[in-house]
Amino acid sequence: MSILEIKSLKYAYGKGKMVLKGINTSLDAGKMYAIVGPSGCGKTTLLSLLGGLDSPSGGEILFNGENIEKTKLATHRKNNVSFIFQSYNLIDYLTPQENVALTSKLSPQPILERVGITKEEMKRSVLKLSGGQQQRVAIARALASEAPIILADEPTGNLDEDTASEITKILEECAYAAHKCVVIVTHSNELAKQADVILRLKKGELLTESR
Amino acid sequence: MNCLKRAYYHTIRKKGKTVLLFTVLLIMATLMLTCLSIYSATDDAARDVRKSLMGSFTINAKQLNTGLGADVVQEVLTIEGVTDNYVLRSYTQATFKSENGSLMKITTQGAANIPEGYENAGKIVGNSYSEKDSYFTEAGFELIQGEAITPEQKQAAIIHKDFADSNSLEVGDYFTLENVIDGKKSVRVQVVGIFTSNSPQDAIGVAPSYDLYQNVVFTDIKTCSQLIYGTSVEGSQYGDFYAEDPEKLPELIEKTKLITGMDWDNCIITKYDKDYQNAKAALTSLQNIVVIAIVVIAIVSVLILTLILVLWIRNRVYEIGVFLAMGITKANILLQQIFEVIIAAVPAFLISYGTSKIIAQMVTDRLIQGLSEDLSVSVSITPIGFAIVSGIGLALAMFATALSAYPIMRAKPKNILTQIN
Repeated sequence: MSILEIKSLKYAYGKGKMVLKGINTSLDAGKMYAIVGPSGCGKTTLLSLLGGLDSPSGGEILFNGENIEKTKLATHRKNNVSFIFQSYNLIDYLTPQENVALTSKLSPQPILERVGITKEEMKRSVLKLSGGQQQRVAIARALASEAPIILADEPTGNLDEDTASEITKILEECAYAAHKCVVIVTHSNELAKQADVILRLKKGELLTESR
Repeated sequence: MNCLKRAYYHTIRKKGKTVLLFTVLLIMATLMLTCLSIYSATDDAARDVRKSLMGSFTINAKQLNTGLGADVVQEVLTIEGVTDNYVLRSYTQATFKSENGSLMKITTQGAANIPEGYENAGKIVGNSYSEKDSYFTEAGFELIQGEAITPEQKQAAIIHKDFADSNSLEVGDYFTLENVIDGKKSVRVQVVGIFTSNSPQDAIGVAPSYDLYQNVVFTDIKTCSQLIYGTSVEGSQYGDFYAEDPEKLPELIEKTKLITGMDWDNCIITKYDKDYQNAKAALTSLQNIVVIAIVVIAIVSVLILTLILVLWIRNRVYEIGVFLAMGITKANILLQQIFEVIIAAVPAFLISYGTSKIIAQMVTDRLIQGLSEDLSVSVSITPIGFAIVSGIGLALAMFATALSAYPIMRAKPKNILTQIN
């Protein structure tokens, strides 16, 4: 059974423009998905709906067969998903270790080492880390939460090519080694090409391209 | 990581914000505690005023044939709230006669006139306690020899030194007081004391001869009663009674009027509590000012605190969005912010205990001294007062936190995240 099932998912801004016009698809654990499409096509909206940050105008999203609206969105966000943002969104008054420990009782050190953060860097202020290091910490935080789904919104958008490549590898590891369902919203063709499945959004409809 | 730990990290790592929050809370708590302790001190002052400026009431029974009887006096003294401290007074004139029956000399120099029949007469002041008489307390009379008149003394008199000298009288000597109009009413008295007057004669040039200070004789109340009413009755024209609490004067007067055996319709009862009422009015207005100050401080503090927190929370939208994305509830995020305020508030409130005591004593000294130089009030901050201010302060701080966070907490997580990305 798929970890996430999307059934007739619709979303409109107020009473206005319909952004998502009845999307149907399913997502599996252990795979990496890339949501692509032109700006304003609803990529981030779809990601927000999958993460329980907003409620759809119609249709439903099932996590392991249960409607996430019924299990409460905050519970879904806490237990089932973890987010990675383009601007890293680390808590600036916490160290990398403390950021990772925010939603996890696991020791943050091995997880941070896994994404390439040194012991010295772990105790620094996050503001003193480079963009790549901050995104690694953000990924470590997502991994530490033990949520089976990782939702990443333009995770390499602010990074240089080499660092973006390293981050992509880490995300692949999350999908394959950690057996998580990784969903990435991206404008980067390079990153999209690494995904197992490309979900292309066009005029509110979804076209699925498997690799 | 729980919200308390997050609040702790925020507090110790955002030092600038913490110091500002601490300062605002310290000022707020100090001002509120200062006002509360001033209020409490004025309350104590009001209590002291009630004790020190005892109110009194006077029964004027001059119109009655028998005056104020000793039995009525005893009944008034048994009313709860009336002190044992009382003064009975009567006033008349009498002709002075020596032991051999001859008329005695009086002073006439400075008198406006010598009324007919009063050529050898003076003013008789019957008093249960001559020391408490206004001649001694206000007009500068001073006992220089012998003893004062007290209720225990019978047929006793204290006389002016000039009268004693001109009539060769000494302490222990006897002379007779005789009603000027009714010669049958007379009392043989013994000189028990001699006084002098240190202040100039009141109404000099206007007073008749018998009112001159040199011609005033103080006697016990019974002697004066015999001169006025005859031998069969014992009464006084005036009775001054003191209340334990001036606030209860009207009630005590009402109870007094319920005493039977007195013609209250022909008596005048006068209340004397002007000093107390003046002090009370001043203290009440001071307390009102303090209450207004407490309310104003509370409102201004909440406004300032809310303004600061609103400015801060705009910078924390990002943090709130991240927490929401992690599944941390809005209530938990709000609780963290409340803990941050509490962590700063606890030391601020503890320190305010000392700062407010110093400020309150300074302010109270100035304010109370402005009301009365005799009053001295020690300002103390009670644990209950401290607990009240701490409780109110914390509640206000929490209210300000909730108020500042409300607009963001109402927003959907997606909208918050859209805003920050």
